[in-house]
Order: sequence, then C-alpha cells, then structure tokens
Amino acid sequence: MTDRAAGTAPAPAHRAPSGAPDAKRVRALRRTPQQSQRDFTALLDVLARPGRISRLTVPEAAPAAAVAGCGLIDVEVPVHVLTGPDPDSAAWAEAVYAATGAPRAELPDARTVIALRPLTPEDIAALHRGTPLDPETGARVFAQVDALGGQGPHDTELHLTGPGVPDGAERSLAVRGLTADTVAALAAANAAFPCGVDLFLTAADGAVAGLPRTTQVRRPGEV
Amino acid sequence: MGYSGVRGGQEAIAAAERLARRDRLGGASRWLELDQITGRLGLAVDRVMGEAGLWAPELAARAIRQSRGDLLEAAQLLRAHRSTLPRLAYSSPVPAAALRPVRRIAPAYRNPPGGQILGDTDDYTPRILDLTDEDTARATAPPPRRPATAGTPVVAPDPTVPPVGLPPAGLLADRRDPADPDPFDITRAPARPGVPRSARLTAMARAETGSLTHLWYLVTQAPRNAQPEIPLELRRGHLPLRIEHPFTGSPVTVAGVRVSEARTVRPDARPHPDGSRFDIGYGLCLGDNEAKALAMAGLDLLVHRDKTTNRLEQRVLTALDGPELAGYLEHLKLPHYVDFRSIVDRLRALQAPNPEEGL
Repeated sequence: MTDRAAGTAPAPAHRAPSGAPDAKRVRALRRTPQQSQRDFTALLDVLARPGRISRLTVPEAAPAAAVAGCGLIDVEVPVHVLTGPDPDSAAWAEAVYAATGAPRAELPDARTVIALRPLTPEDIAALHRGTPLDPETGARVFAQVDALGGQGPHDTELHLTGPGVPDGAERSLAVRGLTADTVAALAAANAAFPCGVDLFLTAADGAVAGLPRTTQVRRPGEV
Repeated sequence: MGYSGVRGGQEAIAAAERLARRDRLGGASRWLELDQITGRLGLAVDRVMGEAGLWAPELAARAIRQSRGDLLEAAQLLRAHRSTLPRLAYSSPVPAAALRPVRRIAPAYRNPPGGQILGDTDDYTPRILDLTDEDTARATAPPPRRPATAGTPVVAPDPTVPPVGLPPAGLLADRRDPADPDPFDITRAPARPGVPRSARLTAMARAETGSLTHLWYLVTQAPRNAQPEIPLELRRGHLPLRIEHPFTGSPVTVAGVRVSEARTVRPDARPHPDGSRFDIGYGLCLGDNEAKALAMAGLDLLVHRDKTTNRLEQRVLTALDGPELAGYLEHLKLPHYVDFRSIVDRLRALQAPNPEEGL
C-alpha cells in the first residue's frame, strides 16, 4: 500500500499505452458487476471453508487466476502479475492491467498478485504480509495450478486445519502443481498471525479453493 | 444472524420472507415498471441516489420497488450495491460555472445577472391536493415524453446564465484553503471529528435528507444563531462528469449528473477577527433535492462557526447517515434476551436486601 494519508484519493497516474493489449483478451477479463458479485460470493465461501472447492465461470482460454483476480481489483489496487517465459502469459498480464486500470506494482508492494506460472518459494517469501496494525494490507494471491480435487498420481493431498474447518476434524485438498517447497514457504509467511498472505488456488476448469492465512497446511508424511 | 427465538427456525424465516415477497409482488394491481418510477416518482429516485451516493436512476427505481417505497431501505440497498462496484477512474474537478442550470434563483438579489430563472417548481403556487377526477386529469395531461435517463435533464438547460458571484468586495470572510488538498474520501476512511471540510461536505451530500433538514432546523433556530441566513443562490442543473483521458491526459466529458447546489451567507456580528463580514456555506447534492442542498449549505456554515466546541461537527458526521441509523434501528429487532436477562438479574440484585447491613 502506498503511504498516502488515509482517505485521500491518489492523484491519477497517466499510463502510457503499453504494447496495445489484445482486445479479445481484455474483453475476456472484463467482469460485469453481476459476474464479479458471483465470483466474490464463491471466493468468500472457499476462503471461509478452507478445502472446499467452488467453481467460477471462466471464458474460453482465459487463465482462471486472472479472471478471478480481475473481479476484485480496480484502479485503487496495486497489482503484480507473475508471468512465465511464454509470450501468451505476458499478453494476459497486459490484458489484466488494461481491463481493470489497476496500477502496476513490484511483487513486494502488490496488494493483489496474480500468478500465471507456478508459484515458487521465493515468490511467497517476497510477498507483503501486512503489519500487526494493518494486517489487511497483506497480499492476496490468485495462483494458477494444474488441477484441484483430482485423484491422479501427481496430485498432492494437503491436510488443512484451522478456522473454517470443523473442530477436531481435518479437511484435505488434492492439488496438482504446487510444490512442497512452496507449501513450506506459505507456512513460513503465515507464521506470525495476524500478518500473512491469503491464497486462492484456481485450476483451468474454473475450480477454486482458498487457503487463508489462518489455515495450517500439512503435507502427508509431515508432522 | 437468524431470529433464533422463532419456533421453526430456518423454516419460519423462509416463510416470513415468502410473505414479504407476496406483499411486494402479489396483489391485484398491475406490474410496476421501472420507467414509471423514474418518470413519475423522480424526486424519490433522486433522493435515493443521493443518499446512496450512486447516480443510477434505473437501479434506484429497482431499489424503491423492492423496498415497497421505503426510501431509507432503498438507499441502503443501493449503497450496498455501490460497494460492490469497481472504481473505473477519478473524475477531475469541475468549476461551478460548468453547471448548466434548469433553475437558478438568487434570493439575495433583486436582479441577478442573467435574471431569476424559476424553472420547474411549485414554490409560488398554493399547495392544494389535486382532486381533479382521473378521466379529466388524464385527458388534460401534456403528451408523454421520454423519461429522464442518467444525466439528461427533462427541461432544456440554459447555458448562458452566469453565476451570481460573491457578496460585495470586502464583506466576505475568506475561507479558502490555499493548500488545495485532495478531497477526503469518506468511503475509504471513516469521517470522524477533525476531518477536513471536504469530508463534512461529502458526508452531508450522502446524509439522510430528513435527518439533515431536521438537524439544520434545530441549530439554525437556536437563539445563539439569531443572525438571518440568506441563500445567495440556489441552482439545479446538469453537471458534466470529466475525467482525464488515460493516454493523452486531456479532459474528456464521459457522463453527466443532475445536481442541486446552494450557497448561503450569514453575517456574524460577534466580536472576532471576521466578525464584521459574511460567512459562506456551500451545499451540493445529487439530483433534484433543493431542501437538502439548502440545509447542507446552512450546516456547513454553522459547523464552521461552531468555534467553541465541535459538538455540531460530531453530529453532522456521525448522526446523519441513513444506512447507519437504519442499521442500528433494525438491529434492535434481533434477539436481545441475554442482555434483557442480565439487566433483570442486576435490578433484582439491587432490590434484594443487602446481607451485610444485617436486616
């Protein structure tokens, strides 16, 4: 978050036209109020009940993480998009900024992070976690994973406990495309509650699950 | 939170909702179209938009229909909807001269520049309930025209009317802030005493009309405010909404809203540095709502005058918000049996004889 005084609107920043984002991609990411309200309800639900999988309506070919993120950001939310080496994800990143008017931010300053490539432990470590007085400024991350809720050999079963999971119980969430190191880095980032980061995992088919900062994530075999 | 004391729990709540829905949508009368509300009940629509802080006639009409005409509830519905909308851009400041008036009166002057433009108003005719029978009224009604949609005035505005200007030179206390700070955004940070004037003005622009006019009346009638309050100018008209073009940076008009604007002066005869001058108050709110603009300008002035204490500022900031007061009122209907039981116990304990007194 910027250091401007509370309650004052920031001066409008002029953004130079940057590489003319693809109109088709921008259209796919632009959310109507009804769509973003529906997305918001789904995202709130999965965040309140870690381990539950909900489904977003995702336009053809658009990355679900970008679609989910675009419903919640506007000109006031500094955003960073993590892109892979392929030109396609860079084009989607440009479309995110063009569709929402969100200001660009470096990874440690971003309030919302959209990861179009697999998250690395370094990414997680760099995120802003908020401060004890303003924990709400901790980053909100929309991360693309390969699949959620599957039962294949490459799926990792995450065991979740904490608020939103019934007492004494444990929910599990099958994820493909989230490495053990990243899960460990997430636990480290969320060690000092109320500071931390809130993570949404989205799969290409629109499936979405939430890992709020209050959730303890354990991989099988770990204590 | 559910009403846990109701027998049947969830089922009873669902049934209560069905009953309310039947009242709202059932009945023998014809379906109420949105354009009937925007076209025939325009002042109600404007009031709801102003109190919600969102210019959206169709959505305000929906809210009014859903709340069965309860404007406080409608403003709450629209305010809640507003909070889900993304911010698209920041508008640039628009000078007062850009307002194209459909009505402009200057009670402080006999012949203001541009003349008194009465516009559409019932102010100068007796208020008598119209008892013309329905058939005659229908037959003599002017031909229907398209109802006003967002930003388009029903009456054609007159762009040539100049603003009235200020009182004679040297008679006005200078209230300008040379620093010209950015406006305080009350939707981002709570407006509590000590905030800049812009926060007070925004809070009053969104205030519940009845509460605002009531507070103004209460304070302006107090003996300590015996000096007369005279509106310099009251205008209603069409205000352009301009933003800076995201690429070129030049101003572009993207939309327009109808607003009511009032400027009020009041002399201050008390001995202090500005005692021999006029003080000026300003009010601007969405839609056709002259009472609100006038009360707002009056309160802006009175809060500024309230030098000894900030009690009036506190009331302006905390007691006028419609959804806030409605929310508090509504919460009283939720279960309170724990509070009640605890008070009963406390009162019984007070009445019981004290064993230490050895009775």
